Amino acid sequence: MTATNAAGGTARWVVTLRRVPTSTILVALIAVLCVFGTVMVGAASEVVSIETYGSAWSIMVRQCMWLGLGTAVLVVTARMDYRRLRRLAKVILIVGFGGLLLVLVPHLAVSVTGSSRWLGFGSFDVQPSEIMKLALAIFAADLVVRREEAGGSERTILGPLVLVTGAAALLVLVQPDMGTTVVLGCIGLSVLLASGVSFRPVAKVAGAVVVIAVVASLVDPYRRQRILAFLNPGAHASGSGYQVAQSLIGLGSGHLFGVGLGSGTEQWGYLPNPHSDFIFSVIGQDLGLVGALFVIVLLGAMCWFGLRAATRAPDRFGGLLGVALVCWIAVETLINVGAVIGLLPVTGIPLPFVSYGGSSLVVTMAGAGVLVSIARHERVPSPDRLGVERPVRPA
Amino acid sequence: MSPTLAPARPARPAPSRPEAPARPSRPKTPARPPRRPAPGRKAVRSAAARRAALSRRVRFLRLGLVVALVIVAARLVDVQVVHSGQYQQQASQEVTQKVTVPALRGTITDRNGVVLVTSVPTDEVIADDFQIRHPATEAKALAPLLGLSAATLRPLLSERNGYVPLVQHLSTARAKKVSNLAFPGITMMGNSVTETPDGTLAAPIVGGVNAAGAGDAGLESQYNSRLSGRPGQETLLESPIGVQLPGTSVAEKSSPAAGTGLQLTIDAPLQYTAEQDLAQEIVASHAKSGTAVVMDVQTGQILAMANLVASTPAGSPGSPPAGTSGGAGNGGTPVTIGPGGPVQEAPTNLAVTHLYEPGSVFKIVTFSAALADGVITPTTTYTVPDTRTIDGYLFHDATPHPTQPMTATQIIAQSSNIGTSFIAQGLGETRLLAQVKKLGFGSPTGLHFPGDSPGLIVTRNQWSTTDYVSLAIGQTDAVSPLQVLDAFNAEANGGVFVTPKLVRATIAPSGAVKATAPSTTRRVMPAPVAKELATMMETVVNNGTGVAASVPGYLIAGKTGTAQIPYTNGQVGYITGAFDATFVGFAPANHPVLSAIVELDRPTPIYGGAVAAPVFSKIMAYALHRYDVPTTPGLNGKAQANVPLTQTQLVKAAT
Repeated sequence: MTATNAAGGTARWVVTLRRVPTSTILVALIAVLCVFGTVMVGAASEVVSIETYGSAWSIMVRQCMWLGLGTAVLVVTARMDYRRLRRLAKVILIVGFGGLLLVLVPHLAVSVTGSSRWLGFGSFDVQPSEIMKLALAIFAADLVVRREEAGGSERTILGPLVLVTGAAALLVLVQPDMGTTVVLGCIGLSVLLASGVSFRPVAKVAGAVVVIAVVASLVDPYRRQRILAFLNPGAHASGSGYQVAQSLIGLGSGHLFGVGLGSGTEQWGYLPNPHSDFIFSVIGQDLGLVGALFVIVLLGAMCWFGLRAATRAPDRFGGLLGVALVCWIAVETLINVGAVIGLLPVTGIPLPFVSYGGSSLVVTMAGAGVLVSIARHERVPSPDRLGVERPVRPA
Repeated sequence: MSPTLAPARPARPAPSRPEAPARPSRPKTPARPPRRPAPGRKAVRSAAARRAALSRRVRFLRLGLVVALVIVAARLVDVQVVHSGQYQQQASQEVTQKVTVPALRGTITDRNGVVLVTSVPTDEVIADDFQIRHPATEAKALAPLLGLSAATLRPLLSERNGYVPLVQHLSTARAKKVSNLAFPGITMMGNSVTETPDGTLAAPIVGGVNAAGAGDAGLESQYNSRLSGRPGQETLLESPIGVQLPGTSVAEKSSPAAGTGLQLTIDAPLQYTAEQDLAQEIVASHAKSGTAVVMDVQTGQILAMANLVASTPAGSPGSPPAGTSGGAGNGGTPVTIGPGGPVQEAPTNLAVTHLYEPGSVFKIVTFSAALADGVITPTTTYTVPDTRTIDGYLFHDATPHPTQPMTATQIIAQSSNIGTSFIAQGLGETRLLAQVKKLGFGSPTGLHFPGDSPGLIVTRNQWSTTDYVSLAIGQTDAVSPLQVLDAFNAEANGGVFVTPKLVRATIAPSGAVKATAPSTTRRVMPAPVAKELATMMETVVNNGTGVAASVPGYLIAGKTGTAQIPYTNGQVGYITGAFDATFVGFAPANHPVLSAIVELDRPTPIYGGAVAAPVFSKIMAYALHRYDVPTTPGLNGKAQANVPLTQTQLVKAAT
């Protein structure tokens, strides 16, 4: 992956890039993604917006409001020292679990299309599972560091981590929200992986998760339909496979450069949730392969530099938390895009920073803010010490 | 793998991975901790070791990320580039809607171009209320143009439905004003409305158009393919809820071609007169329904074809009329035909759909054949009693009379059933049945009008001896009024049968008039026979049963018919007191120009000579004057019979 020049040395731009503060890169990427996302939400939501609110701009205005709130949250979390989160780890986790339990109480939760995922506060809906993602990442990273400092074995890490992750995933699974379950599982798994525990127990846990996921998918008719539709979209083209069929029509008809911003036909009631779950298809239709790859590259870069922030983190907690946060964004991106391009079943996960998402956007921004905070504390390897993986500053 | 952590030292070869121990050039690398300290689970690793492990695992994650994104990119290229054409086609297919643009239907006019029915283009106004921003102010602006009150319009504009039809037919002039307002969400769709300037005139002939715009009755149905024209086709881009996508142009595949118009043989003023005269008689005689047809003798063109039904069911058949003076004296104020009036346009063209046993007018069959075969001459005399028994069935004349000698002419003038049966017997069953067919009974009239019935006639196998009376006097065979008129028209036309005709010409949208082919003709009786028969039938009007049919200044020939109505519910026999009254004839008798039939279902009084003949007289008088038919020399403007007669005299004469 490293670019080299003719003389065999590392290219100048790579060297330059290494010196650019990771936090700067991350903030720039987040800004571009959010602005681009807001524009696309506007382009994709016209028809839905008129149908729902009577004005073509209502959804975009709401997105701007959520984005404003998200930006505020990002600024706060980015400016604060992420290490202070360690002390809050348990509180946040308890809040997250509390929310997940409340959602399951009948009549308390807002139910949309058969899923109880939301808690309503006036005109303000919050998904506790979103908060759980952040809570789990902080808790897991903190747990690993605490146990390591205490000199505990891998087992003392593995046990509680699997337990907490499993409990959170289970509570989300019964909502039902398969997508978020997978995201939570991946967050827990990523911390485990990054902590350096041997592959074998990680593989065992991962294997168990996969088995549970497959079983859970097949026992529930709602999920089974979606899986079957995914495996054979043609046979379900008018039912469950309809969304994917429409999504692919949108993408495919965009060709290289798209039909033009806002000129796509899929948002006219053919594609469900054109501004949220399927916004990537609208991007593909309006802006073509170029637009789609643009989003992929931006989100890929976001993950790439997020991982750079993690490896450059001054402490172990920051490194592990950084990996967990990146994993969150990466898995959501892949699950969302995977469904849109017909490679994964449809689960209803928004595209980070781009989709219209309300509380989801705010929580994602909070996570991104923490990542920026980690990046702000990064220790840039000095040129003469590069090439080895050891603390930049001797411990 | 990692640009971030790989060595940045220039002049070094490609950066190496720390976990690649085989690489020789790593002087500054300290001894790396074992990758998996055995037994790893219990080892407490140094911070440096942990950091190194994190870096290794991050590389692993990066590899996974890159692989996943490459798969995504590959799939995107597959969908958006390789198979793009297929998806583009699907996308355009699902939004492309082919819309049929209806063509304007052709206009139907009378023989002189008077419009009977025409299609006028209009616009349907539809609101997409999701797009309407100011329902109150827009309702106020639209209300006067749409002819609705703002109060009714306002809720329609805020219905949250997406498709609210406001007005179905708006004149194109007003529609233009509406579209000039340019309110978003107010759209217009081409439509057309059927207009009948003369109201219901000739409605059973013209027929109707169903909701789908196809003719479903009358000439509208018969000539539907020509009247409807060729609809155009447009291609639009629509959303699943049927909204045209903004910024998309409408591609017109083919523009609609207006339908071909029809110019009928009907003469609107005569049609009006016929309907009025018939309506008055239906009211006066409490008849259930009636039909009157006027035909141009030589060409077979139908100049008037009135078909009416009484609005309220007629009183029990045969019950005495309450203070009626009969149709003859009833003139003056026009009768309202249509909703609210005592008489309505018939649902069908009774002249071709109403099958009935015609009664004595059917004697034309026996007399024309007998004259042609030389069985009789006008003066052949029979000794005629007033009753006769055949096979145990008793037949009698309409009124009792002593057994008396009667010439053939007297037999037809007085419409003697017994006399006619003697002539029929002289003719023989074969000849009689052949003549029935020859005169067109039992065959379609040739109009091809929807519902045109050939009728039901007795076949050889069904023949019985009693038919010498019953068939000859117009019982047993069921025929339509137009068939009867056709037979008499042949007599008037010197023995040449002319196929009737309703459509004179077709008029292309360009205005080009193309006359329809002339009616086919065939000889059904020798010319001298027709002439002799006409002379004999003059006596019917001179001093026979049809004196009321006379028209001052013109010599009229014709025949009355009063027939019992058989049960239609399967019961054998005739409905007590129910009669069909007919008068059919032509004028001027010595040089016929017009023929006509008037038929009434269940009138009171029952006799054709009493109720149908006066209507014939009125219609024929109007028609003869309208077409400037020269009066008959020798009559000096007087009627051939001593008219007017009183109602009592009329009934007496008719019986």
